[in-house]
Amino acid sequence: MKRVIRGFPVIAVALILGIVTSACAARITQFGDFAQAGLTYVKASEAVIDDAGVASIRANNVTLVKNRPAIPPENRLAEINTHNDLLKERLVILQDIRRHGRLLQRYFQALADLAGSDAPQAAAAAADGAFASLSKLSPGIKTAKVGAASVGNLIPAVTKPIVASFKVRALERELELRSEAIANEIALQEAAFTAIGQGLVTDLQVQMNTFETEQVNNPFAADGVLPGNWVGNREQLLKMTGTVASAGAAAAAARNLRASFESLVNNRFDRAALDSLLLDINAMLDIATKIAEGL
Amino acid sequence: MTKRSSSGPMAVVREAPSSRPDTAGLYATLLSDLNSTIVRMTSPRFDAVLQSGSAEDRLRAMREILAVEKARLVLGNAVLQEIATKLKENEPELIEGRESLEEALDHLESITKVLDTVSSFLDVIGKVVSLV
Repeated sequence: MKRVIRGFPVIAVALILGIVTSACAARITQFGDFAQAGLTYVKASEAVIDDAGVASIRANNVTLVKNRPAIPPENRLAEINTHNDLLKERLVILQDIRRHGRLLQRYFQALADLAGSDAPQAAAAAADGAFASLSKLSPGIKTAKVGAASVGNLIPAVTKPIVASFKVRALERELELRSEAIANEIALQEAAFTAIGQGLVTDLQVQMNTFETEQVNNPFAADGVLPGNWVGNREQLLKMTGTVASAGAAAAAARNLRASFESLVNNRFDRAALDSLLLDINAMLDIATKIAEGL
Repeated sequence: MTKRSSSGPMAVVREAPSSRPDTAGLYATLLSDLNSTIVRMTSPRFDAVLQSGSAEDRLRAMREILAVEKARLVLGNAVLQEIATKLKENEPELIEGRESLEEALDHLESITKVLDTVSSFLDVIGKVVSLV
């Protein structure tokens, strides 16, 4: 009996140690996976932002070039300067959204460091710094106009995430303090990419229309031999049609990122959630790459 | 080509709480209309209609396409708070203009009618943001 009584605590301690070690490893893995997914998201979202910037410039270019004969020569300089200024303004806000995504990723990395660190002060300070920078940047984005909508009007409602127990006081404190604010910042990304997607579709469509008329339809309708690249041009045009229709993939990835963050905070960010998030991020990157290739 | 210029170097919109949601909704609708208009005026279908028109029609269409492109950039970069009052003041005309525009672009019955409608719509937009 005495041996059993003495033996029980040994087994119990071993079991508890095993559970604690396993829980600790799972926690570190969850936050590490999420930070890594955040990095992938940022890279993919930057590709979309690049596409949006290039598309707005090129749509403006084809419009100006095609319709230049209608501008009297004495007005052309003023006309080009006006369009340059307007496009520069648009590109500034896209860069702000890019910076916002990078700051979010810095925050996710700081959370991962907090989850796995024995000395969390540095990680907590990094999270604090990233959050402070986000707070300075986001008001400008909220009030920005991108495409056909004000970003602020597209922000979805966010409910306060439920913070699970992670057995790391600094991590739990950080999540209690800021998880709702961070969920709102991710919602801002979602709104920004909804607006970007709308503008991107218009700019791509303007380019494709001009391409279809000048490189596909007019050569085909004209007398004479078709240009050697005609078949390739037509194929490129038709392939791009489907890609343009998928320009909303970035907003879907941002939406999943927010849901994943809420799962992470609630200690429910499992392998299936990670796979789903990565699937959406990869879809965003895939569309962005196809658009970049087709532009 | 009528000279039109930007309303200002603002890249962001600061929305007045009192202006929402009506003006914000109207604003988004107008931008969406301008986006839709430029897409349709650059479409192969519209180009084909223009080919059947006169040289003067084509030249006028070029001017209107340039004006729509500029208007969507100017309105897109505008500060809602600054134009909210003018949006409200011109709301009936804007709504009437966008309905006529949609009908004209849907049917493409006559080049002159389409270009007149686009021009009228831009004139009303010009009362909200400076396009000149």
